[in-house]
Amino acid sequence: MKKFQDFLEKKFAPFAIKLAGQRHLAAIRDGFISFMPFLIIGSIFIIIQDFPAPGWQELQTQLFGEGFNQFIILPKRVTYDLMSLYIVAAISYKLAKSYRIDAFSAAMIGISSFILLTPITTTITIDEVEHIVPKVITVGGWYGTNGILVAIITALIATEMFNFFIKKGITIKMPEGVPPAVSRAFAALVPGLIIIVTMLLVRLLFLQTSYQYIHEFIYQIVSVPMQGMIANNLGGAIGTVFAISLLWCIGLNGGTIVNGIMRPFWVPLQEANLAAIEAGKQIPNIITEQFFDMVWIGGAGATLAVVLILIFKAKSKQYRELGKMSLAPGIFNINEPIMFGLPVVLNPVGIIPLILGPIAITIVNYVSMALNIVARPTGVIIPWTTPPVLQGFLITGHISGAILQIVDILIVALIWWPFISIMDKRKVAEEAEITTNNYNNKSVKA
Amino acid sequence: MKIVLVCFAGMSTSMLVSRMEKVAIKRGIEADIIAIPATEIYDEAEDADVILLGPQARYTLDEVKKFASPYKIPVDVIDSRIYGMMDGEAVLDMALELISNK
Repeated sequence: MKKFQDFLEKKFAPFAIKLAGQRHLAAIRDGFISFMPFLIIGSIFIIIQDFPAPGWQELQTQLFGEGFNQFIILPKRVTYDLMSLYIVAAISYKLAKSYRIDAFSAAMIGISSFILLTPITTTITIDEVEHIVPKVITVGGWYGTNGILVAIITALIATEMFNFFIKKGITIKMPEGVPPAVSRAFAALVPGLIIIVTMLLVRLLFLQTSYQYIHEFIYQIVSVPMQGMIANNLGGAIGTVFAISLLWCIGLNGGTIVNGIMRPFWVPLQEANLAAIEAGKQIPNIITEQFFDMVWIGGAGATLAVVLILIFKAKSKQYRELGKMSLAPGIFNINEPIMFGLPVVLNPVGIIPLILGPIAITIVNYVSMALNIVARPTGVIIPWTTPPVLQGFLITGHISGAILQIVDILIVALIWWPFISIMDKRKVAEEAEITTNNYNNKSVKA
Repeated sequence: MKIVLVCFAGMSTSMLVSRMEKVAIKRGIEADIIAIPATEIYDEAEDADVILLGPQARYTLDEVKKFASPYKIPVDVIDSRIYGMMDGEAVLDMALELISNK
């Protein structure tokens, strides 16, 4: 055990810390996080359109007319289905901010760059004849979740170029006395021009190949293999949960770090689920980001079970206090009080259940969904802070999701129980010693 | 006085902030306490009297110290146990001690 702890602190921690702080990964992570509210808003309308109550679809048409169904889903279309445009702007902004340069211009340039690399025509078929429609930005397709990887790459490259030119002074410098907003806009002109010409050349380059567009190239070379590795792969799911738990062992927010890296690859999975539901087909993917959200009951380590054990079963005063205090955050899946208070972080006794608990329920959840005992995630995005049980219901759109989480809590509680008992006994002994010392001191004083 | 807490995402740290504020009011200390992610120190922390890092943000210690040194702002990492117990009193004491030792 000591060897493992040493490995964690001496080899893993510095690497993980470097990874967490890495500028580009942080920009990607923060870019997605800033877009989350929009996805959640879009989800609200998905849930409205598709609320899992029998008879709702008929009631909709009865109350609001035939067109309601497609009208109410519009907020989802302008968020989920135009995601790449927002993301390229958000990541460019965040990266530019970390370089302390004009983030707004960077975001604008990011958007133009992305569109320059993406088709702006579409084909429609009327009476069996195909027509090419020019000057079109499609809702969905490469502008939606399919374009995420290109959006990320474009944002990083365009902003790096922007930073390079600004820092090297390859800009038009306005004379003194010109308002800062105007100087900034003019400063962005030359870098913007060079970046746009570059993107134009890249577009031209790809048009000469069979891929036609960089999107198709990235899709074939990266997306397809990645999906194969992570979609509906129990091993991949266990690996993800393990990595996140391991990062928490050293006190780093594993979820934020790992999700930041994996999210671009998970997004198409939930999109596919949503599309399947809309088409009235079977839900294909068990694994989506929300599958993992369901595992973190009370936060990483599935610590809500820990909180409940502390409140009802702990014998030491400190742990009963800790339990009471951690209940409110725990209900919203925030676990820092338990992580640093038990503590779990850097504590060998806490590390084992921290890793085993979530892996156990990952397996249970995955298998029950694979056997169709429990409904799969619909692909809807809800805040990760949604209280458990309600969360399971909303994510799967079915009561089986809620029941699964209750079962999960019981499983995790069983796993944590022996370890908490050990830690609790120690605390009780500590508290008894303090009381004894105080008693002795009082006697001495008297 | 202005106390700046630096965290990773800001959720549990804001609970710590409200506990610290309660203690400050009880003691009659006027303190403006905020919690921010590390990337915002450049905008929000120039006028801070002390900067404290949550344990999960400890990897930013070097960057924050570099930012803070020209302004002579003391920087330190909050002990894990104190942070986990959301001990507002202990963190406030830590902040006050760092300021008085400046």
